[in-house]
Amino acid sequence: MTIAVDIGSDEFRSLRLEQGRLLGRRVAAWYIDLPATRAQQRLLDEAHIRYLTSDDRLLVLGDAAIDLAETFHSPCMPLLPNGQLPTGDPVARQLCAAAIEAVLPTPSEDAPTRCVLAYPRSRDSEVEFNQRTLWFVTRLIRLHGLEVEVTDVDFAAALAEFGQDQFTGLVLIGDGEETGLSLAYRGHILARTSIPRGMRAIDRETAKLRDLTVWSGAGEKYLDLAAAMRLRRELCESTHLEARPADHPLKRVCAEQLADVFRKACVWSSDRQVQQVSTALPLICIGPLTQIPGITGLIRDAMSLADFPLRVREIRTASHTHFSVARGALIHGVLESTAPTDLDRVA
Amino acid sequence: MESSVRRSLRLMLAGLLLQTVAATAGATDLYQRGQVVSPDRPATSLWSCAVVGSVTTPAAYATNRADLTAADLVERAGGLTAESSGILRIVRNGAARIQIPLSTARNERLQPGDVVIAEYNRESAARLAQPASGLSPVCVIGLSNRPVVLPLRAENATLGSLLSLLRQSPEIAPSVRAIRPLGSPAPIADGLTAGTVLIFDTRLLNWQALATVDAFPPPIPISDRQVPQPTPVASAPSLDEQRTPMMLAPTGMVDAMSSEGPTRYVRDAAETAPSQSATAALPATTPGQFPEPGLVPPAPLDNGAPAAVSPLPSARTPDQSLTVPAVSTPTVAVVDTPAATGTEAEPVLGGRPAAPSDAELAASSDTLAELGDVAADLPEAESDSRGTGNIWLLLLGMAIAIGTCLAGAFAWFRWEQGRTEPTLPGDELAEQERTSPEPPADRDTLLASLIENRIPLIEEETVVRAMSPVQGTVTGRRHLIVEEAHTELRGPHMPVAAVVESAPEPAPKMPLKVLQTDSGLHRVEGSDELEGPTMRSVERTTTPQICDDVVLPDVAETRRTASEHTEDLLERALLAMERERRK
Repeated sequence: MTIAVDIGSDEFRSLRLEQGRLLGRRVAAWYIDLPATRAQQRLLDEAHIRYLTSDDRLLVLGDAAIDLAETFHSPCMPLLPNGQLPTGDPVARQLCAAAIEAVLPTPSEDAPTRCVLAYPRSRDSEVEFNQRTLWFVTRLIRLHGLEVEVTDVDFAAALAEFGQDQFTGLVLIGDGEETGLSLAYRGHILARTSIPRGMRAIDRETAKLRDLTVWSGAGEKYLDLAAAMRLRRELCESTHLEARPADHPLKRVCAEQLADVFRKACVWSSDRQVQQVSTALPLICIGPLTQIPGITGLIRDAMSLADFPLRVREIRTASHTHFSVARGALIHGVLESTAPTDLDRVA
Repeated sequence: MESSVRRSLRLMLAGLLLQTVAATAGATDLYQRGQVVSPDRPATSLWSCAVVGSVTTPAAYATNRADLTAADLVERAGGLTAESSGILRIVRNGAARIQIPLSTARNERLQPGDVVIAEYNRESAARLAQPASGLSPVCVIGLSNRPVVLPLRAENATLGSLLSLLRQSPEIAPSVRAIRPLGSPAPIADGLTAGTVLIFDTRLLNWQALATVDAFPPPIPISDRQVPQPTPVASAPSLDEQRTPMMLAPTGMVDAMSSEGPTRYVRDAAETAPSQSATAALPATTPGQFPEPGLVPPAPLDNGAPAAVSPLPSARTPDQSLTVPAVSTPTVAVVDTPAATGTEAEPVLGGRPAAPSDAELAASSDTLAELGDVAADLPEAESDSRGTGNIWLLLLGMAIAIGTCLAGAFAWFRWEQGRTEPTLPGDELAEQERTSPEPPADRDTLLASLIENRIPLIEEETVVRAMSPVQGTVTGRRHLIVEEAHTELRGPHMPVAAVVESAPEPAPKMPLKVLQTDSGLHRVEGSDELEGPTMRSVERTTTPQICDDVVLPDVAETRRTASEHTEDLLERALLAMERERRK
């Protein structure tokens, strides 16, 4: 049996098939620390919020951290700042391990024995080997007795979303720390590009523009990314970006970011393989970007702004925002575990 | 003793079952869309393929050669034109699977239904995207059981026009897939360029409406004895000049499809055939005298071209009919019609959405006019062998029926055995069943469900498990820091001595008690002032000497003012909660 694990910058997710049911788990890759006082513990216990203990701190992990950050005026910290496992931060590494353990099922006879890990290829390119997040995560999963196979996020997304299009199309993934565009053609990734800015960069901009900060007792001032995330969600729920003026902060930042991605992807026009793709392609948008209403209009504007060379037939958002990549990884795992049939051999 | 008898009986039943399954598998190969075809494609059977794109004569071709290669077909189509890039793509089973240069195409054997796209060079592909006035030969798969090449006029060279000509609903347009020549920049909605291969979903076609459309262009026969005639590449005629005898029917098709109705084709064919001045320039092996059943044959050409072509069997006389067993094919009504006025049989008449067969290519147009079933199109030369084949089919049907009965008996036997003896220790068969993996069919179904996103997702609650205390100091805040603490502004901002002097004598520490007055305000015991509704811990001492906001450098590490402050607030909140609960 196979389980798919998607290590996103903002969320860790897993998906598995168990007795014909598709079971998913996800945990936000954020945490807060609170002083380890009796009152805090009692408050968290009464609210049925699970926490981990440190020497003098209480650590709350996941969605509860984002919710409690406002209550306790504590800065919400990402587990993977800049998309990387932080070096010199043993607490974050241990919490990362706890989060990954949380999305894996309890070991049992029916538990999966194989794990397909979806991971962006561009993430570890600038980091030393022994510090790589992938290396860390892979070892961690292996410690749970699972055989690990790594697949690319864009490939998994193409498998999940382009089943009706012969696995051909453009994948736009807006992760927390990077935004990438890939061209899939019949199940092969012909070209991919990315910029190291994602939704977290947008949240940072929002926090700076609106002065969303939180002060510590020691007089230090921190960006309140949790407040920025909440504000983004509220904006997304209340307004449609296409109807907003061009100088709307969220719209402007999103449009610039998307235009940068498409501008960077314009170099594909010199690629021989890409040149042979003459059909109009569907474009699928995956990640937190999909939660922004009117994102399709922004993408269309960004494409025309960047003079993107490929023709796009339609722009759509992922069916399951959170689990699209994990579902593609699961498809990859099922495909790999299936023995080739006669039809496959002929093809 | 009883178990051994039972085991031998079981093995015998299993053998019979396997035999039946094998026979059934063979039968499924024999049947393709209601038509009996030979599984190993004997040398005498005709099959069709097509070539479009940058060749001199894009068309569908019928041949009985089992070793026909892509290069042969291109040569048969007059060779590549000057617009060609030299690349061939072979569309097989609805997908462009093979892409080869012409030099290596000699080794690529074609299969029935294959379509070869001779790719245009980049300049020509760009030029083809522009609106033109000529004909655009477009290959269509799915309208028949062979590829059909339709030379569309410029005004009809869109998918919507084609659908209306075929009398199909425009709603099926999204289901039509197009394989276009490389470098064609326009999407399918903008127009169909020459060399495009359209693939229709046969499930969505309105076959009854299609039956009212006139004949499709017949394929050009290729015989074994023909010598390929290479055509100089440099002389590339325009698409208008490419109107060949093969395209007589397409011309009629174009005319007939321009909403005139079924009878229009007869008139068009009669009108266009004599005026084919271009036919004289065509190879002698491309006549139009091999119409499909029901197709109006064009007038004979003066150059007598058909003499060199036909390997087809002789025409059937009007009194001939076929004896088809009821098991294999439905009853066929053969209608005798005058030889010169055959009508279209490719879109199946009689309201049954069955696809026509390649056998139509060989049927004579002067005997069979309208056929309700493709089996009636079988040529006379094959009728004897077909009769023998029908007997075999009858036997095969009986074998299937017997096999089904045996399978039912076997299933009942197994069920009965499982009911009486749930597990037989040491039974090898039961052991195999226990250890057998998941059947591939189930996995395929599962995979298809996953890809099509048909399985509903159940999101489980994610629980962070308790673990041993986390080691280390939290340093994650450094990634979010905007402004360091202003250490130079730390207090006290006045001399400590002055503070001490000016400060009143500290009151003795005594616990405070919170009492509630009748007015709803709280009175703290030990203080004369009434306070607002605040709660303080009983153990809380009086206000410290130094304000909480001022952190002295020497005590900053030992005392965490903020946490105490928070703790105080929390305790008060907890007390308030308790009080609310009591209420």
